[in-house]
This record gives sequence, structure tokens and C-alpha cells, in this order.
Amino acid sequence: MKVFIIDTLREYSISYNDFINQMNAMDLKKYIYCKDPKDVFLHLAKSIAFGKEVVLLDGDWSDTELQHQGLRHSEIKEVYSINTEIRDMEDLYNRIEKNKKNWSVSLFTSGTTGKPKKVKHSFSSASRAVRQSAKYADNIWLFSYNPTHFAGLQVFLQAFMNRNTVVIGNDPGKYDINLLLKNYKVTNVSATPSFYRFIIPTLNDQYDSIKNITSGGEKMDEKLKSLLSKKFPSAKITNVYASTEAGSLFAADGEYFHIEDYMADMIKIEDSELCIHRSIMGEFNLDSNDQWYKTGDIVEYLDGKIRFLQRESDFINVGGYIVNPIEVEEEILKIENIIDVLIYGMDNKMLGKILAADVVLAVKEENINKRIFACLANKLQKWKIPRIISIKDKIEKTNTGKKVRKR
Amino acid sequence: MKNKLLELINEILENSDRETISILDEEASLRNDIGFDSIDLAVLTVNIENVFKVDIFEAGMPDTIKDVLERLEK
Repeated sequence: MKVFIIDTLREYSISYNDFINQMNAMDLKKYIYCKDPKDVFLHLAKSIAFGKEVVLLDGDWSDTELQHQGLRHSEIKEVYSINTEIRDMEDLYNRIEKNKKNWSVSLFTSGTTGKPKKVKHSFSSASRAVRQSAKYADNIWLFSYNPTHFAGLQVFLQAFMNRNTVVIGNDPGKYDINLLLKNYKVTNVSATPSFYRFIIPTLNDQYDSIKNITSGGEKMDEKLKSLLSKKFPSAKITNVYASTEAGSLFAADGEYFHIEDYMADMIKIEDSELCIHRSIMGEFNLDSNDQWYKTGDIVEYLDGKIRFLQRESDFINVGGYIVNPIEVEEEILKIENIIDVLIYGMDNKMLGKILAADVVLAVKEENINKRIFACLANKLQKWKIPRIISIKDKIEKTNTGKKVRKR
Repeated sequence: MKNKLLELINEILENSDRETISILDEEASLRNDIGFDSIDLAVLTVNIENVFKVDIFEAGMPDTIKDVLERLEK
């Protein structure tokens, strides 16, 4: 019986048949708000099989973060009424083929004004980069992403649509990645550069089973690429460019991302900024009626390929997680004695950027750092909590009163 | 130097309400034994650079306390 999910931390290994049985036994919730990747996968698979619309929420969001997305605990309990049982794997995949056109998944992403926006993807936009073929049938995936983020959704779809095995390892501090790669003969790893930087010193072997290493969410540097080539000598190393709004767009084996033919009319470069046509993106409310979405990525174009130079955005990419500084500033301003704050990203070789805060206090206070950490710990996900804190007399502002963000 | 490093590690542990350590075992892995995640490691690199003016990532990624001390002693 083909194994679908292996989770050594939660101590289970379930086959595709077990998975179908669990799917039949559970209620399909419209809002997927679960911590265990298996529960997220169960809801995703069932929703596709029955063509139902679902919304992905991070399983570790606090009540404060749910409220920030405009959601309440009571409203996320909505359940679909489904009385049909899935008989077996063939029945499952037949249903998926028939109903996938009615399916949609929505994800939340940072909005420009501090308010998050919901992006809705159809099956075709969510699975644009998914490849299905007999040659992928024996792939074994290390699952490194948050299952409710777009990258996690991509790996799930790629593995599930090819009936592959998925080995959960999305917390490299808790899972022994070295053992997982060796014991389960993993063939494919898709992760952020920060994930690879974290695990490399703990990898003490050569891993010949690994055929594909994919990196996304942040820029991969040449040093890391060369370390990965040494650890994974049989692997092809690919960088991907994807976002919650646009889905998966480009792939590259180096710095230059190839633009596939069908994509040529769907992108344009305006003042060096990459713009993407709305027709290939997920659905979300845009401030203007413009058919082109400005990504904030400054690129260079050369012979049908593009190279990413920098990001013109206030959002901060902390190890592949995008942080909206306004959301963090709003929470910090609720802390007593803090009268002004500036959140910014500080360059860091481990994570790309690390979150830092300049704070202005009403009255001098010892150990304000500790109090800030304690106040935010139960309100924000850990990568949204600034870890480098400096006390300032004032926060620099522009003539129009906007904070000057450091980059 | 060892005492200062111990202090920097404990500051990170303490700030997130984790148990501090009293002895710096050179063989201990920052990830597996001390329990640092990637954010903790990133903070440690910043704080070490502020105090010792040394970029511990320059010569590759450290895993054990010994790796860090070796980089600081150079």
C-alpha cells in the first residue's frame, strides 16, 4: 500500500487508503485552520474532490492575528455538508478530475496599507507549475514549508497529484532532517534558502537519492548553491519565483529566470519593475482597474530571461516569510510606555533579513526588550517579532509624516 | 570570551522564556542541543558581530559552540 504521509514527530505514517478513510470520516471545513500538515492536506484533497471553495489560515495564528485578517473564531467553523463517501484512490482522482474546475482556494497575504488581502486561486492558477506524469510517480518529497502558504500548497499539489510520498520536516529545529533524508530516501526537496542554511551544518553524509533541490521565497546566493551541490551531488538545483498573488511564475538554474513562451505576453517591465497581467493571477481587490499588477521587484531583462535585482517594497522577507511592518508596529504601539516605533529589516546572512525595531519610550524603562517580547509572544507568529530592539529619541519622518524605512 | 558568549546565548533563551544554560559545552550543537531555530541563530550572529566585531558566518555556517569559539579566536 502506497504511503502518503510520514510524520516522525507526530509518530504516524499513513497510506493513501488510510488517507481516504480519514477524509470520509471528517467534516470538510470552509476555513482550514489546522496545525498538523496532514489535516491541511485532508481538507485540501477533500475540497478538490468535491469542488468546494476553501480558505487557508495559518494554524498558529493567534486570536489577534485572526482579528487582523477580519476573521472571528465563530465564523471560521463553517462546515460543508457532504454525504458521499470516496470509495478508493481511483474514485478520488476521478472526482478530482471532474470537480477541480469548481474548486478554489484563498490565502491571505500582506496588504499594502496594513490590512491583509485575500487572494483566491482556481485550480488552474494554483497548479500552474504542477507537472503530472508517470516519470514523477516514485518521487519522495521532504515537506519543509508551512502547509497553508502558497509554496506549501504547491508541494502538496505536486506530490498528491502524482500520488507521491511526503515526509514532513517543516520545522528543522524539531525534525532530524539528516535522518529523514537518509531513512526515507527522499528524492525531492523544496525549501527556502534559510531552511537550507539552517540544515547544512547538520548534514553529515552524501545524499545520492536526492534528484531535485528547489529553492524559493528568497534569493539564493552562489555560496549556498555551491554548498548544496556538494551535499546533493546528484541533484538538479532550481530556483523558483512565486508569490501568493501571482502563483508560480518562473524557474531558473542560476540567476536568470527563463520566461516560457505562454508567459511572454503576460509580463512586462515598466521602469525596471516586473509587472504581471491580472489574467494569470489569483483574484483579489486591486486599488486600481489597471490590468497589470506591479510586483515591486526590480529586474533586468536580457534575451528572454530576467534577473532579480532588488525589491521596492516596505514588506520584509524574513527567511521566506513576508512581514508587513505596519501590522507589527500596530501591535507594538499597544504596549504601554511605547509612543513610537519603526520596524525594519536588517541584513542577515542566515535569514536574508532579520526584523529590527527602533522604539521611542514615554519614560525610561529597563528591560523594555523583554517586555516587548513577552507582549508579542502570544499575539504574533515568531518571525513577526522584532528581535533586535534599539531605544531612540525619535523616529525619523518625511515631510508628509511618513516613516523613513531603512532597507 | 566564553563567558560573554554564554551571556549572549542565555539572553536569547531568556527573551523567549526558555531555560538558560549554566555551562558552555564546546561540543554542544546550537541547533540540536541548545535548541536554537534559524531566527535565534540569526540574532546570535548579529549580537556576536556587535560585541566581537566578527562575522561568524564568513567561514561557513557554525553548528557547535566550538565552531563559534574558533571563529572568534581567529
